[in-house]
Amino acid sequence: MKPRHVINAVRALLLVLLAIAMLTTPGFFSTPSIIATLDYTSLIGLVALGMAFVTISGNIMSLALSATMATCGEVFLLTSNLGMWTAIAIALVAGVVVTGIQGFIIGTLRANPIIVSIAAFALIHGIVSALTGGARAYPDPGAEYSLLRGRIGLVQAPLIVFLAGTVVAQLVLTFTRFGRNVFLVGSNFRAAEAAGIATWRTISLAYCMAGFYSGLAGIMAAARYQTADLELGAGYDYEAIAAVLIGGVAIQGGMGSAWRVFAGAVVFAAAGTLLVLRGYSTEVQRLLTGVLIFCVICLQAGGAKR
Amino acid sequence: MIPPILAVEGVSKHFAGIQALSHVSLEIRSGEVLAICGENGAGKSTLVKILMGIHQPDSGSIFSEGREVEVRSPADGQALGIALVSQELSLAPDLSVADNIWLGSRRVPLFHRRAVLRRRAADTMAMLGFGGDFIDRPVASLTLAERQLVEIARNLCRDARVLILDEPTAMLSDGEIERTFAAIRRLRSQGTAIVYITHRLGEVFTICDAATVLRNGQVVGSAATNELTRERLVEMMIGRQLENMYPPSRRDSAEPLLAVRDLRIPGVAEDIALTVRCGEIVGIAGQIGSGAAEVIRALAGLVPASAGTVQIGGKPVALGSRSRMLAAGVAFISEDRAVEGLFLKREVRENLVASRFGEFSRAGLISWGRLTAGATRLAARVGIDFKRLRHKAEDLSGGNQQKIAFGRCVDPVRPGLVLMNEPTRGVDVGARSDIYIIMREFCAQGFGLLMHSTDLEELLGMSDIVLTLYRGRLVATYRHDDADLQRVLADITHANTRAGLASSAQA
Repeated sequence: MKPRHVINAVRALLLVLLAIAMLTTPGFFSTPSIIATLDYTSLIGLVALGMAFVTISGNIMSLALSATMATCGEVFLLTSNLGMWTAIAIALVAGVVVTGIQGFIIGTLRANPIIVSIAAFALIHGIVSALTGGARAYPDPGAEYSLLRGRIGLVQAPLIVFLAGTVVAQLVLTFTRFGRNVFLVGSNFRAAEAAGIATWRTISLAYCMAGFYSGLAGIMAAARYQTADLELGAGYDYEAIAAVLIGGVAIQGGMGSAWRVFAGAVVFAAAGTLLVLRGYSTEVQRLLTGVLIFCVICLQAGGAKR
Repeated sequence: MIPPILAVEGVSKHFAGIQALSHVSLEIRSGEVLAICGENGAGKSTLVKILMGIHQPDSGSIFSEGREVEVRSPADGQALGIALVSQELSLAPDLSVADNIWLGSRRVPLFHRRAVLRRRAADTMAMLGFGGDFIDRPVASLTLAERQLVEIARNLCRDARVLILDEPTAMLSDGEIERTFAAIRRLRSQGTAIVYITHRLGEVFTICDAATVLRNGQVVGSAATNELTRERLVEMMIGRQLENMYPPSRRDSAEPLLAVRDLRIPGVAEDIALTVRCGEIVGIAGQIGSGAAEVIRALAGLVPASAGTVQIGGKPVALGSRSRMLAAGVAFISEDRAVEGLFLKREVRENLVASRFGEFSRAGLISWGRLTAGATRLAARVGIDFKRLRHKAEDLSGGNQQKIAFGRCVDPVRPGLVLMNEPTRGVDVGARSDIYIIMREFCAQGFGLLMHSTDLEELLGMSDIVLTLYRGRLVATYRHDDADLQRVLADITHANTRAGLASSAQA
């Protein structure tokens, strides 16, 4: 049997197991549970979409997207007195700049992307704490952003943003020169360079996209909780990576799609809800994240070896 | 008569739809150096893998000293004393020579006398021509040739009796080649059997006692080297006379396309001046390490440290940026398809248009219809089946992959300069002549081609102008008709030195 078939078989088996668990867990198909799952999916999914640009462009992952997300959440609340759309724009620009700088460094210097992201995480935390004095951010009392907390029927605003974000990401990846370059640079950096593709620009832009999507997640989270601090994004890096990998985006870069990230985020969030409903603690959920990432990495490595 | 130390009889091997070997027989005796020659894809590496126990033959037998044996795994191969020294060495750079020789050996018990092991290592290295303190040097401080010999010693200390050397001189300089040859002669006199795999026909006559030629998985002939001529060997390998391989030049344009003066790559090349005219092929001859490949890379914009005056179509262009060079109409075909040439995991279609998404997009948005039509046109121009456009590049043969690289350069709007390093490396004979025809078509359309190849027959066969390069400096310029092999070889090896003489036999 070819490795590709093994992977597909394992994936199908896991989905069947998940389906059985859903059907046998009382309350999983209840309205509150579904809303909670989709909500959870949306925030992870937005960060995961950003992460996917990093992964597909060949830079494995970023551990600073959670920090970007939190920063954007804080910026959004602190500028909320300027009006919702202005605050959103400022927060997104902040996210794009913070992450884009990392992309520029990685793209021009060929610095190790994970080390850069760890350094960026520390820097963002340090600078934001210094600027805010470590205080939590709250919205301006007169600020109006109920749109971000609204819903259409059962569908809440973050999910709408996530759905739209998925479509946009897929369109960008498929139908723009930048998107195609992301795939080529990610699949073989040196060949991209030799083909005359501006690799540094592609990687910088991929990181800008990562900052943009992390920023969206931060804004939606801050709007929901009506407060934000640096812990707003805690854990989201790992969960986004899990969603990206479960979706089947190649960890070595050059392959993947926004649809896959969407599917990965849904599966990951559903597994989390199952654990909660069955009474497991958050520690067990974290364990599950770890196990899932390990499994996917082993499967992908097995598939790459032929 | 003593039976041969290793014999193969009627071995066939078949991989998904391809008959890699069919009824191959050969034998090797102790104290003999047997060359296995053949083009890429002739079956050399499959044969080696069968001898090593990595693949099992579908039919046929293997005999060791007249006794039939089964080589089912690499461990069986080792037990029979068969060892492979390939171009990828497996030494630990920070350990000493002696430690590397014994590293991982099952012959070293947990409690051992270090002195005994050191003596055996020293004796073995001495046999290969190295002094007593050599075994204490860290492997990182050795030259490539020395490392290769350490790898050989390592196998000898594991009682290897049949050494398979896979292209041992491919990466070596002349002096190093001479040292390797000296070691091989000593091994031969000690009774080791050596299977010598090489593309360099000259070496077959310099170092080997006999040659077996493979073509399309079959043995076309075996003979003692003193009964062979070079022409006969080539004929056996490629199955036809050499002359008709290279399509003739139809040079008519004389408009200069590329003019280079004072090109300098620190530590690699100095003072390079050359001109490429529209419709002509200029070849740079030079050995590995001569700087020829780097000159091509520098002109492609891939060497940031390079400097010099470069004019393309009369306009000055600054070196150091690949995308700037591309914009000036300079295409580049790398010698290493997997690392630098292609996106193996991506579709053929994308590979073909990688440098030119701009032609199929408006304001950054791609039209996939126009892109596919464009890729189909490019594929047709270089002879790639349009049905393969959606396949991954890695699923194509070496020859078709190289055609993708050429397809990327086809530009009907504005003919430019095509730079090539080793344009037919890893390409089988049939596809190779296709590629030569494509190169001539480029010329007919007004492209200028600048190539470097270590395959001198190819270089002399294709080039209208030949430049010779030695240690980063130009030696001479020849027109196609004046460039004969001996003069070019003398230039690129400085044949007045002893080392040069040794390698002048090689091409």
